[in-house]
Amino acid sequence: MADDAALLALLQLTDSGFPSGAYTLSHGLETLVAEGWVTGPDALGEVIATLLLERAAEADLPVLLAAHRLGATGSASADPGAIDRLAALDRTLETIKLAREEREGSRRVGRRLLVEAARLVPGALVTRYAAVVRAAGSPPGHAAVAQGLAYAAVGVPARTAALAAGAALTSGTVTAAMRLGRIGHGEAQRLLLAAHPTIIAAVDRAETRDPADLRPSAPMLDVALARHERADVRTFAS
Amino acid sequence: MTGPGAWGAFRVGIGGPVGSGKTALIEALVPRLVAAGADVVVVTNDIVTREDELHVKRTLAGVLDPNRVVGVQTGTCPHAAVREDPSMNLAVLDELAARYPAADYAFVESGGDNLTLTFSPELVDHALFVIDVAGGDKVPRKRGIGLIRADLLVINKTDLAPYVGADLDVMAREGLEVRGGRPLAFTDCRHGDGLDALLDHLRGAREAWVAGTGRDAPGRDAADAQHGHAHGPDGSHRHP
Repeated sequence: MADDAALLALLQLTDSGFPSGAYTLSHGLETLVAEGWVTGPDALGEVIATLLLERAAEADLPVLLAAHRLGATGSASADPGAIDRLAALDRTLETIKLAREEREGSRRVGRRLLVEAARLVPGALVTRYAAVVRAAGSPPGHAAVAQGLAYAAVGVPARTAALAAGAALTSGTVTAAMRLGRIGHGEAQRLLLAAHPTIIAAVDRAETRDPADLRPSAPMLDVALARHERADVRTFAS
Repeated sequence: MTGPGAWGAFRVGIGGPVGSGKTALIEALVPRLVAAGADVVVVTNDIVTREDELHVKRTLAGVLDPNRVVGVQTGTCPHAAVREDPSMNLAVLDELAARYPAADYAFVESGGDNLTLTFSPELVDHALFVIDVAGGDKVPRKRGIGLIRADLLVINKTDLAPYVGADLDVMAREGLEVRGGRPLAFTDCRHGDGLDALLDHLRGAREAWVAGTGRDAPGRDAADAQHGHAHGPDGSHRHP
């Protein structure tokens, strides 16, 4: 990346030390492990591919890209319609995320990211949207919207932001698998590297998707997330 | 953060090893606070099984509306959830603040872990660390960061001391020594001993916080040194 500042900003936002809360989410993996669907790296690889290509590429990443476009157009005072368009994107995700834990996890991560980003980049659109989200009866504040705005605010280009979000989703899932005792740390690194082409494919797909016509389809993950609500043991929030 | 912001709830973190009595402490304190007219909410990270979740709500049934008790899973990272990335706990506190704007106390119970667990000062205004005598009377001198840095060290299950050979005087002396004279308290939550003194401590801490002279006011270390004194094994407590 030509822009050093944008690279450093990207590294900061994607660092494991950045407070996103995302480490508490297993995206349905905890149930898939508990019920015997995922016992090792091969099945985990399939889960990652589904998360990236059938969920992220078809819902969260198109929304992230659209939010990024709005956030990159200027300061908080530019484009008075931007808030309404962000809220519409936000409510779309609320509607199409079928499992409660997925919706709730995404909202909580997104809302905290908005707070952190507003502190870091006070003059940007993300700050105005953070205030709107905090008000009563407000848009839900889903993670993809917050990510698009936050990355735009610190100067990270759109495609890079989407790749970073895809990488974070992959890393979080692999880390959850380690914590659930299904893979070792070396296997985790191999899986992460092997996922790179899938992450790229997911972003390629997301760039062609219309945020007004999103069609994610990951029924097994949705069922796993729903069953997680009533599981006897819940180590993760989703 | 000094003093209340938009939400007047005094956020109290409760950390400590597995089984030390964190949940028992909350279950003992909350009814007493509510009986005294306080508005209370509870966030608990010490919650993995459905049994855990139902236990707390059942124990506080009739005292606290179950919607005031929220569990937050930490994805096997009890330290991160209250220290370097307390996002989910903060998100839940935000939700509770919106639903219960008049709350006086918000307890945040960490997942059971080891002696190094500390709370981010952006998550809580005051931190308690709970150990129990059955863990051994040498625990204070292990100098765990969580045990040292907490605003109040609580040594629970004093009733078991004779059965496990724990010398409470040793724990009191060494606890004060490793904590530089910062306060500690003995409790037996099961039988209610030491709780009145602990409530006095919390009320005093909350008053100081409301007045803006609490946790991170300038010269805090000096203020703590002046406050440092032992609480007797019987829970006796006197402020100067």
